Amino acid sequence: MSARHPTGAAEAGGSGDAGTGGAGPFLAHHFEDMGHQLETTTLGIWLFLGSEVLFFGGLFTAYGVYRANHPELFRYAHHFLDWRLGATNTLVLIGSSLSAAWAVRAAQLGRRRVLTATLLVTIALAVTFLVVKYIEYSHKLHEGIGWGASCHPSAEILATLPEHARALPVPARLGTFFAIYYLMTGLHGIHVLVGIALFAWIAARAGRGHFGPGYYGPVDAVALYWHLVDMIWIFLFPLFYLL
Amino acid sequence: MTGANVSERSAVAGQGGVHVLGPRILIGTAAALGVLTAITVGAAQVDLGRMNVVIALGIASAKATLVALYFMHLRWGARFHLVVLAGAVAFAVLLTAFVVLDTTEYQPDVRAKAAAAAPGGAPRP
Repeated sequence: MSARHPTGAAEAGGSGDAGTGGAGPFLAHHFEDMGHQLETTTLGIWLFLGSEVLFFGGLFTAYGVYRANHPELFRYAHHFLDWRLGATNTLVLIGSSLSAAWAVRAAQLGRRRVLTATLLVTIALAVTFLVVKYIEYSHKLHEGIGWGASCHPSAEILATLPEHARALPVPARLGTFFAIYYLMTGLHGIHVLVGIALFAWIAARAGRGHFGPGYYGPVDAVALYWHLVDMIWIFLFPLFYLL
Repeated sequence: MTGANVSERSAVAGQGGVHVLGPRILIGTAAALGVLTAITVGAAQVDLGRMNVVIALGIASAKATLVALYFMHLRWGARFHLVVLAGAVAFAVLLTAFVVLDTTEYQPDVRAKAAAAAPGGAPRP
């Protein structure tokens, strides 16, 4: 079947050792063999990731348009965001990407205990990310920093701004900046939440011994999704917290 | 598969699109990402005017490239996966770039019109 090896002759044959050939209990009936199934699911997840890039691309465009029209607002508003918490979350996500990539390696090599451990570490770091995000959100909402028309920063939080920012009047459109902030980081946070659910499902299956050198596609697919979520944050962090 | 535990070499030797990332590459990639994060935080503390945005986005792009090539193993994966990602990124970048270029283009016209409509003052639209 030409569909089996769409990437060329280099892949034809020799895939047995890696466990990508042959059948197994997890081979869906509409695939030729495990290699065919792996190639198809991996292509599917990449197409999905492409659509995710387009999805967030539209949001980055909204950010760009608003920033181009109101650069002074962005320079003012970023003082409300604590770069230390943002940087912490950046490192947390990098760590979770490392453990997710390690989980794929463990599955490919059939190391079940390492696989379960790395999946649990990934989940723990993802939860840590959301806890930090919760601290940030609740602090802001508590200090009156909502989105749109409901953004009225309290006197306490205004007093924490750097000297030059304190001298300025509170911009009328501050709520629009925070609407973009809550929208982009919130949608990213929902992706993190989905990632936690997916990793929990993968960890449960790993506990039942489903994955090994012959079948690791789902681990790889969820890890790929997770790396994309990490990648989006890599851009969100400087755009909101640093610039 | 004779046993559950397969040696790294035999898995790599399979060539069937399978590439097992070694510990050095995994940790090296994560370390590079951490260092770049520190650099981007440091660079943002210095006021370089418009260059701040360029530097921050440049470093972020470098980090994203590292994630894609190594963690997402695009460097060893099927070329078509790279095409899918690069195509989506190119579309998003072009969309943002052209819309941002365009959005400030009409501000003088908008302001002039607003000023003409209200001779007493120039309320912002």
